[in-house]
Amino acid sequence: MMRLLTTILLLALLVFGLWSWVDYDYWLLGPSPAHYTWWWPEEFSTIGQEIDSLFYLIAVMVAVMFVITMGGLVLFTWKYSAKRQDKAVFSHGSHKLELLWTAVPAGLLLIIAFSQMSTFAEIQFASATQDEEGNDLPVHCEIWASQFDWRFRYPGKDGRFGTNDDFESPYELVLPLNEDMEGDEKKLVFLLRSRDVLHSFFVPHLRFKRDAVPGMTQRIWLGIDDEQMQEVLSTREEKSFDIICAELCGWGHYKMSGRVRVLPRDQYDAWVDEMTAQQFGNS
Amino acid sequence: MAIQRNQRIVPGRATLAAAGALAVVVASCDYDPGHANLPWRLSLKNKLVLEDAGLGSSEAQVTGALTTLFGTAENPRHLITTNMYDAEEDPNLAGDIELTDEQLDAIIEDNRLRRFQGQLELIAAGRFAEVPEPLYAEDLWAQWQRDFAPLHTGTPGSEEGEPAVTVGADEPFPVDDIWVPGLGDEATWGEAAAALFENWYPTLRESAEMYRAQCLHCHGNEGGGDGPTAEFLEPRPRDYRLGKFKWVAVDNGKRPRRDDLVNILKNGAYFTAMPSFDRFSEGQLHGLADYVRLLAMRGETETLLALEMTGSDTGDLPLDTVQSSYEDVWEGWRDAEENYVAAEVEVPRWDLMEADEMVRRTEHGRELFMGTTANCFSCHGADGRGAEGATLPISLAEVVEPDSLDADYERRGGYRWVERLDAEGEVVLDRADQPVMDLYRIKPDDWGNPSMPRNFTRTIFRGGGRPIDIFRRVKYGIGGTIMPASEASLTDDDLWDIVLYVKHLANANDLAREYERKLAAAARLHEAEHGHGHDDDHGDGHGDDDHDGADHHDGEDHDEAGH
Repeated sequence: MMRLLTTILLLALLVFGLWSWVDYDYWLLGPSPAHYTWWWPEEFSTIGQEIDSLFYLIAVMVAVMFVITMGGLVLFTWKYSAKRQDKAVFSHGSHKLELLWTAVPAGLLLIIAFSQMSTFAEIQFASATQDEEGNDLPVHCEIWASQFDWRFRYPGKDGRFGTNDDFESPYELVLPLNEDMEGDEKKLVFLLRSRDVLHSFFVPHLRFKRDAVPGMTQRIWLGIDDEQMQEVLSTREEKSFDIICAELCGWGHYKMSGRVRVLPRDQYDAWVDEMTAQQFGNS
Repeated sequence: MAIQRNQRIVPGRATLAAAGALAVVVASCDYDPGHANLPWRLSLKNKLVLEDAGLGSSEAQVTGALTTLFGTAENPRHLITTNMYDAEEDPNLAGDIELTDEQLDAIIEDNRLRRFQGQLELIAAGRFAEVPEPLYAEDLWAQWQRDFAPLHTGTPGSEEGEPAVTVGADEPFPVDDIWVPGLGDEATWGEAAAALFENWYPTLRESAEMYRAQCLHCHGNEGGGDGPTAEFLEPRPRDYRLGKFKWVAVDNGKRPRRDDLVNILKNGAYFTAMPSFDRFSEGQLHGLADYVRLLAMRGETETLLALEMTGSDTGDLPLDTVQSSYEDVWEGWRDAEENYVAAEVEVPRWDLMEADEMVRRTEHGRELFMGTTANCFSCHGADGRGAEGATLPISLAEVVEPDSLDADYERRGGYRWVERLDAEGEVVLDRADQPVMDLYRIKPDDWGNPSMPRNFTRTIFRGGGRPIDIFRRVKYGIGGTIMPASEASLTDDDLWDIVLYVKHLANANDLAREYERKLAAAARLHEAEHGHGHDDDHGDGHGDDDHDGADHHDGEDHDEAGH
């Protein structure tokens, strides 16, 4: 009886585990009408496709490993139950088997390591936020994480921090769409900081996630694919996108949210004008 | 010990334990903390006041009076006294009476585009039955279910077995039978249903529901700043019951305007645990401000009543005392809009100012900051680092005995050891040639928190970092704290110069500016070492055009980093 029950439970785990892969509707972020993005919302980042393909590569690998290990578990649970009363066999193990289960995971890890290298460099290396001559790209705004909200500090019209026209935008990160620019110029560079504990700046639609570490200033960048964004915007009513904290940062973690709004260049300039007027306003 | 081969293994226990744990998890998913059932209590302070006067048993009189005036936590509302009725004042109808047209328009637009977008889409498509229940809007939902939902589902209103009544969204609406705010005579069912959601303004009951879900865990059930998470926070959440709020645009000590509260809800208090609640709609935030006002009024009235009771000979609470206390409190809040200050103040455009005038005015601001008229330095320190500075502003503290130390106050930085100085300003030494230290207790503010003068070198201004925000703090002070209103002898221009100097302190220490300067210096050094032959202007726009001294310093940093 126990044997049957345990086997059925493990089999159920296997089936439900696989079901979660197949039935992406089941997940919070929901299906995407624009593209088929498994588990994820639609994206409009310049490197979103790369990130997604890495994600799918790993997801498929994990799925295969999951089926093999869970299948083995179900099989062995059924086959070698206590009732069989087999006589134990003394074994030194199998050299071939040892080699196999060392080499296969190592090979898989190597595949992951090599396939992510260029993407990692593109996102993370210092050169990612520099132009071709090695000069730092100008900072778009400063992102402050603190318990429990996101604050965005803009350098204002002069493009420099520490001047009187800096302004803050709590909750909402507003980005310009640099339609007529190419390559590196399209990148939006940010300084990411935390005031207190570890947070993680996560914009699912831009496939961007990075930890904010107290005491550390990180230069990060986002790139927006114009066409893809228009396509995404045409399929939804809501014109802004979620920012969430992806690192459990304390009791108020659940309310640490924000919004990203992307504006065409002229509307963005108008927004900066408006914020500057507000900065020097008397309301 | 080896397991016997034919021993019967009993796997039940671990499985049962796991199943039990799973059951607990599943059950707790439906966990309702039951906040709705929490009754309002008297504050600890007022309880002690009553007990000290031997009136501990008469608490019920105060509680009863408060229930008459403000209802219960489940069903809060303001009592309308005859005087208020005659003057046509009704704090319950905040959404109808007090809001300006612009505020109402903003609320309606937000309801349409954000708050009820999903519901309105379904209504426009004529799919009444699928409209989902919105959060924190029980009264609205009750009206919807009573008047609209039955027509399409047939279940609540109609008799058993009868088919569902279906009304098209474009059929005429019985304006006489069902009342929907802001609706004309020619309306259709669709318009009526949409108007119900679009014109929504939260009732106090709905706001209380939202308050309990979003605010209570810090600010407490009665708004006493004593919720379950409050003790983990520094600074502590505001206790509304004093009726005082810090970041306001009214005269020092006056009650805040509605906009002051809504602004804090929208922007949060910078770098405190009070986050921005911009994710909620305009109407919800105004509703929360209404409920906060009710809690504040309740707290103020409670304190007045407790004082009246202990002050009277009989220890009784006559009805007219209750009424006059309540009306006094209401007057303070009613007139808040009239106390709005600095609306007409013109903010200097520093971003457009000439550089040498800027320097001159900043220098003037510095002189005033260090002068004895404005006296800023006496608390904020000569370096502007306030409570975080190297030296304690002595004017904020009193010497206490070390054994009278309060552990909670100490944990929150309320005490400092300071070297004792003699008349000549020399450090006094004891026999072992060690400096004699005195224990200072930093003065508490009206809420009992240690007064911590702001450190201006951190670009953090809790009430907002705009020039006008800082100007209001300088001119009118910060209510409930030791930050006073400015001397009358200082003109507005003088005050603006002080604000400019304060902003200068923040700007000069701006972390992002430092960081960019460092990067630019590193790039210059890199160029000098490797000489790629770039043009001289290659670092433009990265803050490399001032402070020659910084270059030297940054060069060292670069070396340390080992490139």
